[in-house]
Amino acid sequence: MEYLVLAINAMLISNLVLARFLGICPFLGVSKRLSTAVGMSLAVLFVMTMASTVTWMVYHGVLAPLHLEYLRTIAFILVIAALVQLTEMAIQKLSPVLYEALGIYLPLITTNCAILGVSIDTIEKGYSFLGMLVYAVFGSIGFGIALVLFAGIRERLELSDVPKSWEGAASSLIVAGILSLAFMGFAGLIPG
Amino acid sequence: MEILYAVGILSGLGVLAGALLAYASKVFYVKEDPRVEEVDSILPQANCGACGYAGCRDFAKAIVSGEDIVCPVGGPSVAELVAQILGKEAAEVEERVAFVKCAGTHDRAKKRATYHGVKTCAAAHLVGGDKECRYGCLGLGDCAAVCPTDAITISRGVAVIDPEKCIGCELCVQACPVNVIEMVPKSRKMHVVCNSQDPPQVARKVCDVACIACKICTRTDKNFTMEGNVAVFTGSEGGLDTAPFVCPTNAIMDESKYRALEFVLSDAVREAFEQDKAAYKERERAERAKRAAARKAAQQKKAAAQAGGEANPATDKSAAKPSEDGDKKDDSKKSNESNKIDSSPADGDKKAKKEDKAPKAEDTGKEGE
Repeated sequence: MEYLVLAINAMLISNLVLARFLGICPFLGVSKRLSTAVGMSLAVLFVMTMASTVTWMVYHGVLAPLHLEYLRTIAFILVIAALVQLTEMAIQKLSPVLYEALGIYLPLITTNCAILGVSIDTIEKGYSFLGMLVYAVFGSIGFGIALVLFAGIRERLELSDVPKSWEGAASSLIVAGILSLAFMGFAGLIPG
Repeated sequence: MEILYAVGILSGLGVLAGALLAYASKVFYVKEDPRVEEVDSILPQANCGACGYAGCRDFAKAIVSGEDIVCPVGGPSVAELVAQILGKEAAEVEERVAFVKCAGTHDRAKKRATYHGVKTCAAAHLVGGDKECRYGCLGLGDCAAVCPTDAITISRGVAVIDPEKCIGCELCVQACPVNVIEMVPKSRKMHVVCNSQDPPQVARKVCDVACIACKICTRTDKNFTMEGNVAVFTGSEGGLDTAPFVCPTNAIMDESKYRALEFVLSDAVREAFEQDKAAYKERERAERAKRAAARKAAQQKKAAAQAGGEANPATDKSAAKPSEDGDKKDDSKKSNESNKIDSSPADGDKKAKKEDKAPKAEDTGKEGE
């Protein structure tokens, strides 16, 4: 039950993009087409789970015992950057198909602040290892939901008749705002 | 002591990550098609994206994987080398360069104002530029500013592009607010140097080298067609070396003439240009005089045939002609009420007035007899 609440919280109520406003760059940048949005979501799911796991272990295994908590930001960035690079190389070798599918989005994730955000979140909230896993997986699924929803809307927006000055980024940002408002509605999902 | 831990931990993490990546790059090494590297080394490395890929490397990958594309910057020479590596026939590629469709320099195009604003074409375009012609080059060099190879110079108020330096990246085409720059095949010898959509009467007044839509070119050479009020070259890529016609306003020039006019501008060239123009004007004047005379003769004949006695008004009119300006209204009214012989006397007068004083005098003389 505890993990179910955690999952729903991570996925919907405090959605990374639409409630916490993390990872706005890929949210706006890679949401022009549905297919690329799905690719990006999968890449984030993959990297976020791995990065959170490793950073959780680095923090609780190395930094916390030595009372070097203040190093976590820089240490996490280092770990995430190396990890993404490593992942990219591994996927390229082991699964060229997946590599083709993820394409440019894999290296792009290095600069995705949602990854670092989730890593730091799990530490701040003092999750257990399992809690951290649930939080990371469902957090990235929430990211995927937001991205895919937004991409779907933008694809239709592309075909609709919009005033010239509202075309492109302008109307996209408005849509993002409305989507965010809609997600606020999930706040009542868990009482208390 | 604690700071040593911090330093140690961070550098330890860094070294560990580095070692891991170095090891991984060996373990997970993926053989890439060596041809990609080879093709990439031949490409111009301008990374301009004109081919539609995110850089020369991407282009190399695409072409090795079988895409049928051509590097627009490298042109045929690069295409051939690439084809050699891939063991293919080179795709035909016509190198394209940018061309400014305006020769309205300070001395040829009339100005309507002096522009003191921000010295960019984009700003000047907002107020319509300083030339009477709204379609001409503004000459403030937005294109020259974006040109990566310094191929564009501003010569007396008009941008001129050196086709030898131009790499065909089209940045200037995008930068130009009046859309006066066009991509043309490098081999093209005849250029239309006018972009004006003004009606011919206006165009001829505001610029010496305007296309006045006389259609001489479209009638004698099927490579040209009219687009609105300006002639455009729509023929085969290279086109002819010289035209079988003379453009009356020099709005269609061959390459050598264009270059000479723009860059060297020796007095001799300029004189030749002026002479060309003067000769044409002379011809045109003679032609018009002839036509006017013929018309007049026809009218006279008609008048004589219709009514012997009613020839008076016509005589009246011609008698009144020497003092035309004063009682023109009177004149036309008179002829209107008198008969239908002279359908538009005022019109005819006006046309004849300037060009053919001499023939008119002759006419009147004859009429008098």
